[in-house]
Amino acid sequence: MEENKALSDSEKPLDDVSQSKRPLPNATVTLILGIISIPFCCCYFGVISILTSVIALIVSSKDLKRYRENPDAFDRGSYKNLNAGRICAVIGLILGVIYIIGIILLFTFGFVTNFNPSTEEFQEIIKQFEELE
Amino acid sequence: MPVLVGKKLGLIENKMHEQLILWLEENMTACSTKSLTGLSCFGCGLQRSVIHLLRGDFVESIIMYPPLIPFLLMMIALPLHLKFKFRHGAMVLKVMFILNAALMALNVVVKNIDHF
Repeated sequence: MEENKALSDSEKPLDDVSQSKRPLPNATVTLILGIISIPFCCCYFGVISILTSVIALIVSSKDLKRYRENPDAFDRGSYKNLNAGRICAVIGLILGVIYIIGIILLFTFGFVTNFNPSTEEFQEIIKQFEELE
Repeated sequence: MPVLVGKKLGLIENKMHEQLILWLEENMTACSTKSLTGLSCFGCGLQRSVIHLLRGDFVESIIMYPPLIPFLLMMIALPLHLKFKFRHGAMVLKVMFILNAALMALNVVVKNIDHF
Protein backbone atom coordinates (compact mmCIF):
# COMPACT_ATOMS: atom_id res chain seq x y z
CA MET A 1 0.00 0.00 0.00
CA GLU A 2 2.77 2.39 0.91
CA GLU A 3 4.50 1.76 -2.37
CA ASN A 4 1.32 2.51 -4.23
CA LYS A 5 0.87 5.71 -2.34
CA ALA A 6 4.40 6.74 -3.06
CA LEU A 7 3.87 6.38 -6.79
CA SER A 8 2.04 9.35 -8.22
CA ASP A 9 -0.57 8.76 -10.93
CA SER A 10 1.79 9.55 -13.78
CA GLU A 11 4.40 7.13 -12.53
CA LYS A 12 2.03 4.18 -12.10
CA PRO A 13 2.77 1.40 -14.58
CA LEU A 14 -0.08 0.36 -16.87
CA ASP A 15 -0.08 -3.23 -15.61
CA ASP A 16 -0.86 -2.05 -12.11
CA VAL A 17 -4.03 -0.27 -13.28
CA SER A 18 -5.32 -3.32 -15.14
CA GLN A 19 -4.64 -5.65 -12.23
CA SER A 20 -6.26 -3.54 -9.54
CA LYS A 21 -9.97 -4.27 -9.13
CA ARG A 22 -11.83 -1.63 -11.07
CA PRO A 23 -15.59 -1.39 -11.38
CA LEU A 24 -17.37 -2.39 -14.55
CA PRO A 25 -17.92 0.82 -16.52
CA ASN A 26 -21.63 0.39 -17.25
CA ALA A 27 -22.83 -1.30 -14.06
CA THR A 28 -24.33 1.83 -12.51
CA VAL A 29 -26.04 2.88 -15.73
CA THR A 30 -27.53 -0.59 -16.10
CA LEU A 31 -28.87 -0.59 -12.56
CA ILE A 32 -30.42 2.87 -12.91
CA LEU A 33 -31.97 2.16 -16.31
CA GLY A 34 -33.28 -1.21 -15.14
CA ILE A 35 -34.98 0.27 -12.10
CA ILE A 36 -36.21 3.35 -13.93
CA SER A 37 -38.08 1.08 -16.35
CA ILE A 38 -40.79 0.36 -13.79
CA PRO A 39 -42.26 3.85 -13.27
CA PHE A 40 -42.27 4.33 -17.04
CA CYS A 41 -44.43 1.23 -17.35
CA CYS A 42 -47.35 3.47 -16.46
CA CYS A 43 -47.17 5.93 -19.32
CA TYR A 44 -47.24 5.87 -23.11
CA PHE A 45 -48.33 2.22 -23.26
CA GLY A 46 -45.03 0.95 -21.86
CA VAL A 47 -42.95 2.16 -24.81
CA ILE A 48 -40.48 4.09 -22.65
CA SER A 49 -40.14 1.15 -20.28
CA ILE A 50 -39.26 -1.11 -23.22
CA LEU A 51 -36.74 1.44 -24.49
CA THR A 52 -34.96 1.87 -21.15
CA SER A 53 -34.80 -1.85 -20.46
CA VAL A 54 -33.53 -2.67 -23.96
CA ILE A 55 -30.84 0.01 -23.62
CA ALA A 56 -29.89 -1.43 -20.23
CA LEU A 57 -29.62 -4.95 -21.67
CA ILE A 58 -27.53 -3.81 -24.67
CA VAL A 59 -25.22 -1.68 -22.56
CA SER A 60 -24.71 -4.42 -19.99
CA SER A 61 -24.02 -7.23 -22.47
CA LYS A 62 -20.55 -5.85 -23.29
CA ASP A 63 -19.66 -5.57 -19.62
CA LEU A 64 -20.86 -9.09 -18.97
CA LYS A 65 -18.53 -10.39 -21.69
CA ARG A 66 -15.67 -8.38 -20.25
CA TYR A 67 -16.29 -9.74 -16.79
CA ARG A 68 -16.48 -13.33 -17.99
CA GLU A 69 -13.18 -13.00 -19.85
CA ASN A 70 -11.31 -12.13 -16.68
CA PRO A 71 -13.42 -12.00 -13.51
CA ASP A 72 -10.45 -11.15 -11.30
CA ALA A 73 -9.84 -7.78 -12.91
CA PHE A 74 -13.20 -6.31 -11.93
CA ASP A 75 -14.92 -5.33 -8.76
CA ARG A 76 -17.35 -7.97 -7.48
CA GLY A 77 -19.82 -5.39 -6.16
CA SER A 78 -20.22 -3.76 -9.54
CA TYR A 79 -20.83 -7.17 -11.09
CA LYS A 80 -23.66 -7.69 -8.59
CA ASN A 81 -25.05 -4.29 -9.57
CA LEU A 82 -24.86 -5.27 -13.23
CA ASN A 83 -26.71 -8.52 -12.62
CA ALA A 84 -29.40 -6.84 -10.54
CA GLY A 85 -29.83 -4.20 -13.25
CA ARG A 86 -30.18 -6.88 -15.90
CA ILE A 87 -32.83 -8.76 -13.93
CA CYS A 88 -34.75 -5.51 -13.33
CA ALA A 89 -34.48 -4.66 -17.02
CA VAL A 90 -35.83 -8.08 -18.02
CA ILE A 91 -38.82 -7.73 -15.68
CA GLY A 92 -39.46 -4.18 -16.88
CA LEU A 93 -39.25 -5.39 -20.46
CA ILE A 94 -41.74 -8.19 -19.79
CA LEU A 95 -44.21 -5.79 -18.15
CA GLY A 96 -43.84 -3.26 -20.97
CA VAL A 97 -44.28 -5.91 -23.65
CA ILE A 98 -47.37 -7.33 -21.91
CA TYR A 99 -48.82 -3.83 -21.71
CA ILE A 100 -48.20 -2.91 -25.36
CA ILE A 101 -49.33 -6.32 -26.65
CA GLY A 102 -52.51 -5.99 -24.60
CA ILE A 103 -53.16 -2.55 -26.05
CA ILE A 104 -52.45 -3.74 -29.62
CA LEU A 105 -54.79 -6.72 -29.16
CA LEU A 106 -57.52 -4.46 -27.81
CA PHE A 107 -57.13 -2.16 -30.80
CA THR A 108 -57.05 -4.92 -33.40
CA PHE A 109 -60.14 -6.67 -32.06
CA GLY A 110 -62.10 -3.45 -32.22
CA PHE A 111 -62.50 -3.45 -28.50
CA VAL A 112 -61.50 0.18 -28.24
CA THR A 113 -64.42 2.41 -28.99
CA ASN A 114 -64.07 4.87 -26.18
CA PHE A 115 -66.33 2.77 -24.07
CA ASN A 116 -66.56 3.04 -20.35
CA PRO A 117 -68.91 0.53 -18.74
CA SER A 118 -69.99 3.02 -16.12
CA THR A 119 -71.27 5.60 -18.61
CA GLU A 120 -74.93 5.87 -19.49
CA GLU A 121 -74.33 5.21 -23.18
CA PHE A 122 -72.86 1.83 -22.45
CA GLN A 123 -75.71 0.96 -20.11
CA GLU A 124 -78.19 1.81 -22.88
CA ILE A 125 -76.35 -0.43 -25.32
CA ILE A 126 -76.48 -3.27 -22.80
CA LYS A 127 -80.23 -2.70 -22.37
CA GLN A 128 -80.76 -2.84 -26.13
CA PHE A 129 -78.92 -6.16 -26.28
CA GLU A 130 -81.03 -7.52 -23.46
CA GLU A 131 -84.22 -6.51 -25.26
CA LEU A 132 -83.09 -8.27 -28.43
CA GLU A 133 -82.68 -11.50 -26.55
CA MET B 1 -55.92 8.82 12.65
CA PRO B 2 -54.63 10.34 9.40
CA VAL B 3 -55.20 13.82 10.80
CA LEU B 4 -53.20 12.90 13.89
CA VAL B 5 -50.32 11.58 11.82
CA GLY B 6 -50.40 14.66 9.65
CA LYS B 7 -50.36 16.94 12.70
CA LYS B 8 -47.49 15.05 14.20
CA LEU B 9 -45.50 15.42 11.03
CA GLY B 10 -46.38 19.11 10.99
CA LEU B 11 -48.06 18.78 7.62
CA ILE B 12 -51.60 19.88 8.39
CA GLU B 13 -50.82 23.41 9.58
CA ASN B 14 -48.46 24.03 6.71
CA LYS B 15 -50.22 26.23 4.17
CA MET B 16 -47.82 25.48 1.32
CA HIS B 17 -48.48 21.80 1.79
CA GLU B 18 -52.25 22.29 1.63
CA GLN B 19 -51.91 24.37 -1.49
CA LEU B 20 -49.77 21.68 -3.06
CA ILE B 21 -52.47 19.07 -2.34
CA LEU B 22 -55.18 21.33 -3.76
CA TRP B 23 -53.10 22.01 -6.84
CA LEU B 24 -52.51 18.29 -7.33
CA GLU B 25 -56.21 17.56 -6.94
CA GLU B 26 -57.13 20.19 -9.52
CA ASN B 27 -54.51 19.15 -12.04
CA MET B 28 -54.92 15.40 -12.21
CA THR B 29 -53.96 14.11 -15.64
CA ALA B 30 -56.23 11.61 -17.31
CA CYS B 31 -54.86 8.17 -18.11
CA SER B 32 -54.78 7.56 -21.85
CA THR B 33 -55.36 3.83 -21.50
CA LYS B 34 -58.33 4.37 -19.23
CA SER B 35 -59.94 6.91 -21.53
CA LEU B 36 -59.31 4.82 -24.65
CA THR B 37 -60.16 1.35 -23.45
CA GLY B 38 -61.91 1.74 -20.14
CA LEU B 39 -59.40 -0.62 -18.58
CA SER B 40 -57.04 0.35 -15.79
CA CYS B 41 -53.34 0.52 -16.61
CA PHE B 42 -50.27 -0.20 -14.51
CA GLY B 43 -50.27 3.30 -13.04
CA CYS B 44 -53.98 3.84 -12.37
CA GLY B 45 -54.54 5.16 -8.86
CA LEU B 46 -51.04 6.55 -8.55
CA GLN B 47 -52.03 10.22 -8.40
CA ARG B 48 -54.86 9.68 -5.94
CA SER B 49 -52.53 7.52 -3.88
CA VAL B 50 -49.90 10.28 -3.82
CA ILE B 51 -52.51 12.76 -2.63
CA HIS B 52 -53.61 10.39 0.14
CA LEU B 53 -49.99 9.92 1.14
CA LEU B 54 -49.37 13.67 1.27
CA ARG B 55 -52.33 13.94 3.63
CA GLY B 56 -50.67 11.36 5.87
CA ASP B 57 -53.35 8.82 5.04
CA PHE B 58 -51.19 5.72 4.67
CA VAL B 59 -53.92 3.07 4.73
CA GLU B 60 -56.01 4.81 2.05
CA SER B 61 -52.88 5.28 -0.03
CA ILE B 62 -51.99 1.59 0.16
CA ILE B 63 -55.53 0.57 -0.71
CA MET B 64 -55.62 2.96 -3.67
CA TYR B 65 -52.26 1.94 -5.15
CA PRO B 66 -50.25 -0.68 -3.21
CA PRO B 67 -46.92 -0.35 -5.09
CA LEU B 68 -46.47 3.36 -4.27
CA ILE B 69 -44.71 3.03 -0.92
CA PRO B 70 -42.36 0.19 -1.97
CA PHE B 71 -41.59 2.21 -5.09
CA LEU B 72 -40.69 5.31 -3.08
CA LEU B 73 -38.53 3.21 -0.76
CA MET B 74 -36.77 1.76 -3.79
CA MET B 75 -36.16 5.21 -5.21
CA ILE B 76 -34.61 6.25 -1.88
CA ALA B 77 -32.55 3.07 -1.64
CA LEU B 78 -31.13 3.34 -5.16
CA PRO B 79 -29.04 6.54 -4.75
CA LEU B 80 -28.03 5.48 -1.23
CA HIS B 81 -26.75 2.18 -2.58
CA LEU B 82 -24.92 3.88 -5.44
CA LYS B 83 -23.32 6.32 -3.02
CA PHE B 84 -22.38 4.07 -0.09
CA LYS B 85 -22.10 0.70 -1.90
CA PHE B 86 -23.82 -1.56 0.63
CA ARG B 87 -22.71 -5.17 0.59
CA HIS B 88 -26.19 -6.60 -0.08
CA GLY B 89 -27.56 -3.46 -1.69
CA ALA B 90 -27.93 -4.95 -5.16
CA MET B 91 -29.84 -7.95 -3.83
CA VAL B 92 -32.13 -5.76 -1.71
CA LEU B 93 -32.88 -3.55 -4.71
CA LYS B 94 -33.58 -6.61 -6.83
CA VAL B 95 -36.02 -8.03 -4.27
CA MET B 96 -37.73 -4.64 -3.91
CA PHE B 97 -38.04 -4.37 -7.68
CA ILE B 98 -39.58 -7.83 -7.98
CA LEU B 99 -42.00 -7.04 -5.14
CA ASN B 100 -42.90 -3.79 -6.85
CA ALA B 101 -43.48 -5.43 -10.22
CA ALA B 102 -45.59 -8.17 -8.63
CA LEU B 103 -47.70 -5.60 -6.79
CA MET B 104 -48.20 -3.60 -9.99
CA ALA B 105 -49.29 -6.67 -11.93
CA LEU B 106 -51.60 -7.73 -9.12
CA ASN B 107 -53.03 -4.22 -8.93
CA VAL B 108 -53.87 -4.25 -12.63
CA VAL B 109 -55.45 -7.69 -12.45
CA VAL B 110 -57.58 -6.80 -9.41
CA LYS B 111 -58.74 -3.50 -10.88
CA ASN B 112 -59.70 -5.05 -14.22
CA ILE B 113 -61.22 -8.24 -12.85
CA ASP B 114 -64.77 -7.12 -13.62
CA HIS B 115 -64.01 -6.86 -17.34
CA PHE B 116 -63.03 -10.50 -17.84
